[in-house]
Amino acid sequence: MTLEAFLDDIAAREKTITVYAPEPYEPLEAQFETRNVAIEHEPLPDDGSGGFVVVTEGGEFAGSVGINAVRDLFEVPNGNAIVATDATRALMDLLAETTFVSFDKRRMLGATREIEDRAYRTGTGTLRTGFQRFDALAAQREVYESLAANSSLDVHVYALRDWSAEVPVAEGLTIHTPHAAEVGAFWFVVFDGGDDPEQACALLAAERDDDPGRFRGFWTYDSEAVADLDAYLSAAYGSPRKR
Amino acid sequence: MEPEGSTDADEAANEPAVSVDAGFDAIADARRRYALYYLRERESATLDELATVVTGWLAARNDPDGAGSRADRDRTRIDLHHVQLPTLASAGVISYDDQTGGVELESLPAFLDGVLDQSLADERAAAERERRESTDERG
Repeated sequence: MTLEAFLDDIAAREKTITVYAPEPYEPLEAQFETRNVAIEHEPLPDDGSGGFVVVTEGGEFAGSVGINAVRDLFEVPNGNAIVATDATRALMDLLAETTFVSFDKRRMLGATREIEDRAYRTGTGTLRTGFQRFDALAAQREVYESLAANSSLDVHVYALRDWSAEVPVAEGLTIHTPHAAEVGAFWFVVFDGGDDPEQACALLAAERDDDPGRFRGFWTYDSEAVADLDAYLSAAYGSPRKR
Repeated sequence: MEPEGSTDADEAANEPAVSVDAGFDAIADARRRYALYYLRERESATLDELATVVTGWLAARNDPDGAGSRADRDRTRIDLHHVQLPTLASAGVISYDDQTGGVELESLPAFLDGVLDQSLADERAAAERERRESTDERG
């Protein structure tokens, strides 16, 4: 198994996103991989609500969310951080295991924050994270210092470059710097759920060769899928490199 | 059932298929009204389709971020099947086949069409007012 294989496996599952709204909502189509998800539009008369989005999985209704929440996730003005609200959480839950093809760094950070947030609220378990680029990692530095310092979480950070010099070593924080191309190619955040498997979640994505700054990947709340990723990372890059 | 006769038949021809009372009663409930808004766009739908639309739409109407769960939809589906669709059918507004789940819109009397247009316009105005108020609060 490789991280690429995890991504390919998820891309093979199918969902349908139906936009019930007066007008089609184009940003969605640009974000998701069409062979993994079908995006449809059903026109509605305008009642001022803006409409809603329904996710269907294997022909079964999985859930709906107001189009406003979808806009919040996909149309955040440049420079604004994506804040994880109940609505974005509900939407992320619906769109889990759906391959996105065009997330920019801000959206990646938004999804990353959602997982870190869950880990922090759970307070126990293992959080493994690897940022494909050093600058993205630097942006998250304080978060990891504080996560390790203020919880019983076992935090593992994977990076090609050793940033231990720039982060005070905290209890519960382990830095891995394996010489592995995929650690430089993938952005991942994996939380095993700690005492509560329902909190397990993971994000895995790779920057696109044809469109730098854009990511293709998925997130999942499936505890088995998360356990597989966790076991893989632990086995492949388990022991921290000696400094 | 009243006995059939030429006088009754003449009266029936003058009477609209949907009485004003039954018409207003049909749209008194938001679930029935939203089912009709949707059916007016399409003429026909299935119970499953209406359960999805009424669940998602009403959740979004009550809260622009509003989410609808599987359990919400299951409840709506049961409610449509046992209460709301039979009410619309007995008002003569739709026909509902409770075996196949097929729903067809009957031709609506002009007054009902007009009231539904007006209520949609009012829903839009109310939503706009709410948006302005919440922007004012933030500002």
